Amino acid sequence: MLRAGLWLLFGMNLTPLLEAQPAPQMAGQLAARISSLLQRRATVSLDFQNLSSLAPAESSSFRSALESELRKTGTELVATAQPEWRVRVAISENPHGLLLVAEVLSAGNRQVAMLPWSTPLLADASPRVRLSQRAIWEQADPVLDFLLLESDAELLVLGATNVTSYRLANGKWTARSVASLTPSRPLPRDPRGRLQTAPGGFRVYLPGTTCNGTLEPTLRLTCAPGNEMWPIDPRDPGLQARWVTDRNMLELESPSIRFFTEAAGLFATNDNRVVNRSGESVPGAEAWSSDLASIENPCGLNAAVVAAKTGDQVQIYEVANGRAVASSEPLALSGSVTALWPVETRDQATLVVRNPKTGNYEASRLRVACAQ
Amino acid sequence: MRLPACAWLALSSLLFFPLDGATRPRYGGTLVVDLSTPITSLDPSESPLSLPLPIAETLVRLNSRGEIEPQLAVAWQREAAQKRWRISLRPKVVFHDGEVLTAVNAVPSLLAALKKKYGDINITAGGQTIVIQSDRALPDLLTDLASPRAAIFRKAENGSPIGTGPFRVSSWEPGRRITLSAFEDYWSGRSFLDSVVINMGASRGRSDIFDVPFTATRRILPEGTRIWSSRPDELIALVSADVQPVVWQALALAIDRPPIVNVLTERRGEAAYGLLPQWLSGYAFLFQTAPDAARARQMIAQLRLNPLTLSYPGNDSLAKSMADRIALNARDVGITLQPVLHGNGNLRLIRWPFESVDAATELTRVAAMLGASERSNSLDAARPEALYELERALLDTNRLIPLLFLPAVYGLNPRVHDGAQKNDSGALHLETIWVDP
Repeated sequence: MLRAGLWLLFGMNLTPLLEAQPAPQMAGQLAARISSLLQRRATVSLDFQNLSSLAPAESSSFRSALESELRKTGTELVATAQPEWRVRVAISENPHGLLLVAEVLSAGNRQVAMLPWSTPLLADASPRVRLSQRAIWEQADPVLDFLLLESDAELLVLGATNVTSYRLANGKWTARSVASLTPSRPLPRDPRGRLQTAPGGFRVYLPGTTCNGTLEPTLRLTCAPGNEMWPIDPRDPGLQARWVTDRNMLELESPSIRFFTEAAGLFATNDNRVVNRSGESVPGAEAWSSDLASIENPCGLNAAVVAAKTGDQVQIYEVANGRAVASSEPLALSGSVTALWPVETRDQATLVVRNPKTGNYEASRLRVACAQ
Repeated sequence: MRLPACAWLALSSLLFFPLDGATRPRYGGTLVVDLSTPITSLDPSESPLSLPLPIAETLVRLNSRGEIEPQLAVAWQREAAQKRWRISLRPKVVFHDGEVLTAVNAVPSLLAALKKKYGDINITAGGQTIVIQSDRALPDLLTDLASPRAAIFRKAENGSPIGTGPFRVSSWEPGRRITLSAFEDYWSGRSFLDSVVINMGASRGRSDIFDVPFTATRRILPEGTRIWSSRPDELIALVSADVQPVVWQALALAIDRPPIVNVLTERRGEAAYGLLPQWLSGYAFLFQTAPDAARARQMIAQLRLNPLTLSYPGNDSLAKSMADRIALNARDVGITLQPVLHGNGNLRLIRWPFESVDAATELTRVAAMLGASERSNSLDAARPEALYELERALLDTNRLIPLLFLPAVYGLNPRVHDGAQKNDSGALHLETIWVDP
């Protein structure tokens, strides 16, 4: 049996939550280390270089902070050609993160001090107007889908290994309970799954496995092998598909087609095309990737599709006369799309991206509104 | 000749490969890989080289930050003295022949691997739990368990390994071809590819992935080929057999590395002054020095020197060119150095592939190679200064002169993509590759 203590000790290594150390704090620590290698009130020339991926502005800010901290220790920084001491500082990098390296040189003597530096993560790109994004949840493990229940006060997250329910309290999601998935087959390497409300609870559709879930009195899951048909588009309840076992694809019986996602009667297929029900390529959809979802068009009558695109973006398209035409500005995302699903709330769609900076899966709701 | 470990490391983990984020991975197809170097053994216990092929897996693995992650083990616990470790195996894992992974069938290959380092080690098995015990502390056990040498496998009647990895061996012609097939019941999800064919001994540049070896001749690549280059993952160095320290130091001062980098590797290599490349240690720049022929001449001016021999590996045109170049540098300061193919020269030019992304592990390996294991025994791997001090001490043994760090370079057909979604290093693994139809 997996012991909770062990999991905390070792399993958490999968998502190290290192506390970022601000530049002034690190500058202070490095200055203290350097000054411990110098004589009191030494005259020092300081050379500085950035060998890391740290942005020039941040590197420059660190240097200023270091100079200030060194002065506080009584060190006199000079630019003379013949100082008593030379200190060479580099911001370097290795697989563990940034590494501050200081060489203290005097009369043929060389001493070295090093400090690992956990840096703050860079800010994500900001989304733009018309198509808006509301962050819901993020976690280190994949998020395949999620449901917002009870007027958005309850959250149900489908992961690759479990379903977790959360309750909103004081603006924060608090975990209530977890139910493990017991898929009959290992999930595909590109794990996908769908979570849908059902009378008395919810259903989970996974490649090779279908599960019934209840929320009350406790969160419970009962899974069985097999791929049941399920409605893939709330705007077209008659359109039912099922997963293909061991694959990341869905299939329709009629017309017979295998695809990644569907929206407004268009299918993203595994030969990198977007086709209509007749299998014909859709003009204007050439830049779309494999993830599409139907969404309400609040400003017109044509069907609307939110499509993921190259370069970690999503964009709204209207489909008219068999052609897709962009009707919003692209919305920049913080990572590549791993799930995009339509939802029952008609002007929204579920989006999950994997943020390469944090490694986390970020679940959000996309919402479309007229731009006036 | 075996495939250099760096090539396997690279093939199984192509670092810094741009991810294809726009399109969902496609299942199916065969990936054809051409390697210029033949593979003569798939036996994991015999050599680490074959293991990074995704056939057999280890209990734990090192991620790109050098941290231990669960693999076939899901949990581990050590006693305070670190002499006894208890490891819990992942449930529902099966070998390629359908046999369920248990502690009992995991122990034989594990014991064989660990016995090589820990002679007194004892491993007991019960259900899904393995207990590893020794009379001495085993602080590095997890790192050892992450080594490809400690992979869990059984052997088929024909000798090929039966592992738990995402690919199983379909056919194997030593030195010529390996065919791997997707393992449908892989515990972490079936690979996208149906199969992988690795042709050896020729890299024609017409396959999906092919190595681009460093040779004296420039190679013309097919149109549209993407070049992928790893971080430097191999050290080329001189190792002394019996050279007196003062001559060794003079030779170290005589060697001019930039022309080797610029001309012989066409700027794809990096000059090496320390044992570990900058990306791995973060402090390699501290070792950088400039050649000083005048001082080298001065150091040996009073000595009467016999000619020395420098042996280099066969079938390695880069090594031969480097040996010739070093002989010229040596002659300029008054040292006669005769390059010889193979043999036991006074100096040997070696290729030293790195096997992990952990600086402490790699320094410990170099220390063992130099017969200086005692220097790394009490290494405090958490302190970067301790690593630096060990590296400095190993260089000061006057047994090794670093020359060059080399990356692995591969050509990739445009139809090759990476389907990894959760990949903290941008690494590409065979099991996450997918191909266009």
